[in-house]
Amino acid sequence: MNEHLNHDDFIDYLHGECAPGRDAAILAHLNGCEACTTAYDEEARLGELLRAHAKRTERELPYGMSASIWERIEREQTAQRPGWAGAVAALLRPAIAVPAAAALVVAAYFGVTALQHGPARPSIEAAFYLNDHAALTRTVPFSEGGSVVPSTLASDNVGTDQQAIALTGSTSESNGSP
Amino acid sequence: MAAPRKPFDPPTQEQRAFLEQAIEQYGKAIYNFALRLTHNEADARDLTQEAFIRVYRAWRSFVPGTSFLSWAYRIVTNLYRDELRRRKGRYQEEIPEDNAPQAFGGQRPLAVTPIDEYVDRQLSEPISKALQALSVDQRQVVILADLEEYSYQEIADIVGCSIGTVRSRLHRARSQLRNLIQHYSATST
Repeated sequence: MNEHLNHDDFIDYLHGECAPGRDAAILAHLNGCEACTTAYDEEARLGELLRAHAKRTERELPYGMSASIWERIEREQTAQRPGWAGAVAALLRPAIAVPAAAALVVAAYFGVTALQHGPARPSIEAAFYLNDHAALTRTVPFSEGGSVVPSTLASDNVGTDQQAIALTGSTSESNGSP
Repeated sequence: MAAPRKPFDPPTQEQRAFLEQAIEQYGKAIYNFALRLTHNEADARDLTQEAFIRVYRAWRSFVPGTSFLSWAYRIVTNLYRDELRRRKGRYQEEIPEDNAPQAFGGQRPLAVTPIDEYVDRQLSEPISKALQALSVDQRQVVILADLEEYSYQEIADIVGCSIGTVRSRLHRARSQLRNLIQHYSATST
């Protein structure tokens, strides 16, 4: 290797990050090149300075650090034990909150739809109309071409049925049937 | 230091023992790593505490036989990155109080070796300032490569980037450090 080495070579070499062939070539060059050896020593010196500085400024773990870590762990575990707040928080979990929200949305939708169609009309039972119709028919004779009481109301008006049967029978007799 | 909360599982004796052992064996190393990253004692304390809480929560994800420190440094690095993002890079950095000469009545305690004494007297402050002047990414890589002596691959795993990125960050960081130390040494004399 005839070319001079650069700082990048020195740094990789110092940290043992050169491939074996490159490592051997750098070593061989350093043995024969005074300028590169001086530059390499400077780079190596920087590492020594950093390590010496780190050693000088090294600290012990602050007093009470271990206790404060355990205290915080205890505090967080206590905070996570279920209380009333925990129960509320549990209700807000997605598994419960999402279906509840969906139900609310559906309820709100139908509520709005009902309001848009106005107030519900009062309903009258169908039986009222039928009874009313039967009563009217009874009071207006001959209105339905001879049938006084509709057959649908036969069970509700037993007395009227009997009258109708009697009337029909008398009618057939009067028509001269055998 | 805010962090997303994850519910604790009921603690077990094994889990407690795991954390106790982790604090005892690696507490100092993790705290110093946090201190070098943040250059701030209060933030380093918070970062260390939060890291051990994460270790406690995620203790099952640690693979026995692998390096606990690498795993812990990765946690610290991620927490620090999240915190920086949260604060939008406004992490307050300060020179550690114990570094001030007046803390020792104007005199330094006895150094262990001559090079320590020399560094302490001449270059401690310039080095400290130069390290602070680096970007967070560059500082992380310098700490892991030069102080913790991890390989590029290990650093890439801890920091979460490629080996090429580690290499280029380290090259740039060391180049800047050389210039910065020279600059601060010249201005302090």
